[in-house]
Amino acid sequence: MPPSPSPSPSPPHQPRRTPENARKKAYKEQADVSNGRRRREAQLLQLRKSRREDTLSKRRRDDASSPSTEPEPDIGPARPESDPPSSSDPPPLPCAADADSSKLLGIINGLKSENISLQLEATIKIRKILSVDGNSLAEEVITSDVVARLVELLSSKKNPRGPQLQVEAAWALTNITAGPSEHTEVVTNAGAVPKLVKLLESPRSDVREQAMWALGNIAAESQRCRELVIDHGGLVQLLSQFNEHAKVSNLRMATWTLSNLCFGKLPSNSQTKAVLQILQQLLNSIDEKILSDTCWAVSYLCNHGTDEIQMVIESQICYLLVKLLMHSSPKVVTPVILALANVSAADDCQVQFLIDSGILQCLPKLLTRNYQKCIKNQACMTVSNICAGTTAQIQAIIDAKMVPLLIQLSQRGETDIKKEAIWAIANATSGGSPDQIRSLVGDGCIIALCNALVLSDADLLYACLNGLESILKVGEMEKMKDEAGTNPYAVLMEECGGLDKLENLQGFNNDAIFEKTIKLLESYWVEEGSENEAPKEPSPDDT
Amino acid sequence: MALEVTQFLLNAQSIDAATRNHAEESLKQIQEQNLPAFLLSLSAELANNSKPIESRKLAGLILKNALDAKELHRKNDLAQRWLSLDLATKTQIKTSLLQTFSSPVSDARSTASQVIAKVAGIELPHKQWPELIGSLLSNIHQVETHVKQATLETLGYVCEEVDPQVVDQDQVNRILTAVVQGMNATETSSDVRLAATRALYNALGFAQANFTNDMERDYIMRVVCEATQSSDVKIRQAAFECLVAISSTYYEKLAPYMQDIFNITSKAVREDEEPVALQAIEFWSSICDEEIDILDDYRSEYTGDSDVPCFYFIKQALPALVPMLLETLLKQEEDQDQDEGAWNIAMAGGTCLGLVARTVGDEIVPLVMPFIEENISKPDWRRREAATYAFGSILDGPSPGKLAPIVNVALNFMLAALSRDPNNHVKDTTAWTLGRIFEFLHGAAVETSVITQENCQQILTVLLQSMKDVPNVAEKACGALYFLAQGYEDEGSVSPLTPFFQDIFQMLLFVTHRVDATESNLRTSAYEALNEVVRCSNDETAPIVMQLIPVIMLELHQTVEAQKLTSDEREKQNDLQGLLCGCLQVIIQKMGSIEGSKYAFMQYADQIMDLLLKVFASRNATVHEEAMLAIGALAYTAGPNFAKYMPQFYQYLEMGLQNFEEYQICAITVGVVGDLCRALEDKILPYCDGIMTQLLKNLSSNQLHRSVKPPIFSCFGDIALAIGENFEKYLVYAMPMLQSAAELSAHAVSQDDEMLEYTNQLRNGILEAYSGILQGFKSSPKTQALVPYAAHVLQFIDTMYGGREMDDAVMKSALGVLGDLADTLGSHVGPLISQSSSSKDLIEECMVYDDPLIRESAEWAKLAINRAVSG
Repeated sequence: MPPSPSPSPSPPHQPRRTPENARKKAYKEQADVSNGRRRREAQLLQLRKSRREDTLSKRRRDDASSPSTEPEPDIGPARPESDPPSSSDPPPLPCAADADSSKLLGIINGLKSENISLQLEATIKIRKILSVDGNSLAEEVITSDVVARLVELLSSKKNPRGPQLQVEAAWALTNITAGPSEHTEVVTNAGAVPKLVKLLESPRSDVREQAMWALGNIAAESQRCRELVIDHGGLVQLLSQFNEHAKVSNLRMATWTLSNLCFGKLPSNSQTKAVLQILQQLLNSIDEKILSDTCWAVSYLCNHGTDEIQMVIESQICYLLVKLLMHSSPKVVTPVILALANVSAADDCQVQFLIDSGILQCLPKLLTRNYQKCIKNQACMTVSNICAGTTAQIQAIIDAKMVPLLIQLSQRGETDIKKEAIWAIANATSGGSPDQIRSLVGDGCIIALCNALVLSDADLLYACLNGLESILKVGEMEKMKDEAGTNPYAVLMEECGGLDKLENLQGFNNDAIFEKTIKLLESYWVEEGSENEAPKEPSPDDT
Repeated sequence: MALEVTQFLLNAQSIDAATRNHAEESLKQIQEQNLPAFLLSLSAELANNSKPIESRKLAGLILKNALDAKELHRKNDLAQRWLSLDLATKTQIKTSLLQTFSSPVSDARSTASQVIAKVAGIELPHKQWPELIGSLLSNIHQVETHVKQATLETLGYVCEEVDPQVVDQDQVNRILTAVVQGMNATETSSDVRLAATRALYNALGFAQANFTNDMERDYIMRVVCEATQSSDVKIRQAAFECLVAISSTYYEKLAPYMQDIFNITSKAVREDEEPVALQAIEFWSSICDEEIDILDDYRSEYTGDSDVPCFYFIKQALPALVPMLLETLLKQEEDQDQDEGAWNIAMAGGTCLGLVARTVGDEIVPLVMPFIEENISKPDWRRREAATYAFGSILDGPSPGKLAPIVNVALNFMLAALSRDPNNHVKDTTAWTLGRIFEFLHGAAVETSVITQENCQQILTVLLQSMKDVPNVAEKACGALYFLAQGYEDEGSVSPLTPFFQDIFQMLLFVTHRVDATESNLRTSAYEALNEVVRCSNDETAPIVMQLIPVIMLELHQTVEAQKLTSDEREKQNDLQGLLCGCLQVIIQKMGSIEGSKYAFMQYADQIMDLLLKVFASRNATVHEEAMLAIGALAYTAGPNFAKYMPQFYQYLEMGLQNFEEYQICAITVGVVGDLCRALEDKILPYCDGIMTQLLKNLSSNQLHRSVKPPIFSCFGDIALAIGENFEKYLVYAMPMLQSAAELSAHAVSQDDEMLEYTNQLRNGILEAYSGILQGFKSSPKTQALVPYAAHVLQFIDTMYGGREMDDAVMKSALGVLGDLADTLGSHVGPLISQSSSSKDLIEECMVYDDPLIRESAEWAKLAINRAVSG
């Protein structure tokens, strides 16, 4: 053999001689079984390591002078903000925000690799880039192929770190869907919805939770998105999350996501009923977050029409809602009153359900105590809706001693509440029986309505004029009993300056108001003494 | 001045014990009195053709043992001792050894070959004995066959003994030329040809350069392939062994030869004698090993790359390779599953098929399915078994999506076969296959498990029933249950196993009591299955798991009470104790992790502890390890309540720490000290003097396995955290120890990965010790005592940082220590830290690190330092 010209520069790769014994071991190997002790030891070592770290970090934090030394925890997603249907933003996390575009390229390569560690690392980085508002890299990340890859990673398979990757990928998508509509569209176009729905079957609660969050964000986007989620079985899967084994954090997320889905009309009544069945159970929850989102869901459903309201009533939810009006947290009370306000706008029978549930015992408290304006506003609107109901319903308002309260609010309340109070008074006076009107006048309704005649809201003005008309009609009836033969209510109006305001309305640029004003002036004041000019619709019972 | 040792050597092999002992004692004395003379006498004895062969062989053996030992420390000592002998003695011994080659006695030659290789192993790396190879090669042209053979044998041994780097390429070329010539078909003596072929096996590692030269490589490959066709079976076997070695050493050079090798191997597998056929199959298994590694690299390395590209040999050979392997499956031996040492063509073929499946994945499925379908119901048990084994073999590799539809169809058949097939061998393989199904197609990680709520009950019924079958079948059924349970690990409280827990435990305990439970490893498998079921159980089944405790305790009690056992019985007893302690450990850990069960569990703590203490009375290493692990688990669960057991337990703790021989016990015990520190906190104080004394002793010992030392340093940290400023009195001992270890590890140059890993473990241990001590002293009036050490700690970190070989764990620990220095010592070290510029850089560097844990540590360190500097 000739001598070799090239001496070997690198140490040769020694043959890995697999001795026959090693091969024999591989025969019908049940690998783990034969190695129990070493495995148990390894488990204990792992436990030991983490406890040692716990002890140390506890000490490191143990320092009153430096409360800020506790590192920002890099844990799972924080709860979404509860203002559905707007999408939620996860909190900004410590992040490699300084990564520049070239770094991004590396991340994207990692994402596309076939190696799960690299995928995971890259996904975490992307998720963090996305979690910082206004990160210039975010736009670069949200390209269709990155998103498509993230969507692919949602179905990571057999690997111990697979679930972790699923969580991270879903988290990244959650962050994207928290952004503008066009970002969410990239995600839905990449086919994320069916895969996220599939994740709801995962045995791991963290995976399910993150998938729900992403779906919740998507559902918040548009009716089309909600239908997309529902069409892929998202609603059914979501409802199955509510079981006795579920963790509170999962229930919270599921409830939030459900509420977002309820924001639009559900495709079928049977779905609505199934949802309501769950919501009815959730209304007994003691968790404020769950309660709040449940009530939001109900309030959205009540927004969709009388059919939905009827189903809400039939699922025995009204009574529970009314009870929750007295809940200590405004986060619960707000959606509750919104839901009830919607019901109060429905038909008379449905409104009667509200009254029977005892709402009138609660509303005065809402109106008089220190609640947020929007709660008071909705409460007041509920009252005004009830006032627009039957005489029996108006009577219930009177019996609940709410009229003086309304009058008070109509004078001193904040603008919106003031208006609602006036609406309530106008409705009650327009629809009340003569006796009820007398009672209402006795409480000061004429002044309240007359003061409202300076407002610029045409609908409300018209309602006030209607109310005053009813009052004046009853006044005509009084006139007959009155020896002086005057309409006492017309007199009252003059005394409080109402007539002047009425006359001013002749200049109001609205035909209906103009005509109503002229009619009132002509009927009750113009050409005083002329008996011929008696009101055209004098029948007092004609209500 | 050779001594007369013949008689002693003969007597040392006498059947009479007294004679033997006396002779051994005398030899030992001579060795101690005059080592050079003793070694000279031995070499002279070996070389002397007039001496009896028995004394010559023993002389050679003792000589060999004077040069080499398995244990690394001893090996180094012996090498040093040889090197320090005077030159004349060494030369004389070596000359005698080379002379022995011409001896007509083959045993003498062969013994001398081995001794020469050992001397070469010591001397060549030191550039001594440069003439060895030359003088060996000068023999190669001798006419006498036996000298030629001995020379080739020696060359082989030398190659096995020394690193390729220490031999010049020029000499390598000459060795290879001699060896390959000896293998050539033109060599008439088959003894010479066999010796040459075996020598090539060892010399392949030297042939790196030659394998890059096409002409030389072609030549070597041709000679090896020709040798596989020799008429001598031993030569054929040795030649295939060379092919196997080449397949892993020179995988990337094989492409031009693969077609020929396939033909050669497939002929050998089908027609040749078993030892040859086994090597031919091994060639393909070895190619699979290579390709699996490369493909793993493609998937996992950061570069997504591998040093060696994949040539996809298996993929290309697949259509021919798979049928060849399937044929081998039909060559089972009766009762091979009961025979632990069995290894035959069917077993090797199936193992290879499994590797092929892992290499190519989905592609293997359509090639194997027809074989399975054709044979699985045949009346001949061999066919049914082969079909089942083929099925089980391909379950790891192909995607679950590809396999699930097949498995869904096959599952019922398998269950029926396991309960009803008349043949044990078939049932054994069926139970194993079921286990593989559960391992690879069931569990949280698999998208759609083949196990459903519905078939789970049926599966369990069959598995539990099979546990009453013959031991080898029952053992496989236990293994299958193990994987079934493991698949439900993350299932929360809805595991379908829940309703069957009672039945499962009852059956597994029944199995452990079978009279034949020691056969086929059955008892161990039953306990491992039990442990896995417990480990993967959930809160819901905690009460049933709790019921196991008195049962296991009773069994353990019976083993400690047993009296007067034969040594055989004693050994079985030890095994059983080990298994029971392991089982207790798993149960304790489970009960401790479930808040509701912890309290109920504690009622058993006294009794368990009592039993474990009795177990420590046993002198068996395995049992001690298991019992220590159980104690560790118990300490975590008991917390400060463990204090009451300390007075009795302490002696065993100390015993464990002193066990240098069985260093795993020592390591586990060191870990348990840490567990106790966290459980007892300052209640461990009374025992600390003893523990610290022992730990310090361990650190200074060079007998203790080095792997125990890093955990001991970590343990210092655990102790300091537990006892706080009370650690002060140990500072004067512990700190210098830490400092010198730090010095050593900071400057360590790591030649290989193993050394690098150890260095990093050591650094991490040292840093954990510093962190524990610093944090332990925090807010104590005695923090001043630490100030003098701060400079050294900083310097340690600076040096490591400069060396750039820290792994992530070390980096994180180092950041922690920087923060701890500032946190505990505050303004005392502010200026020092400010000066440590590299530490500042380290923190800055880590602030933008990818690993969030490292960033966190960096942020914390920065904050602590800022406070210290400004405050």
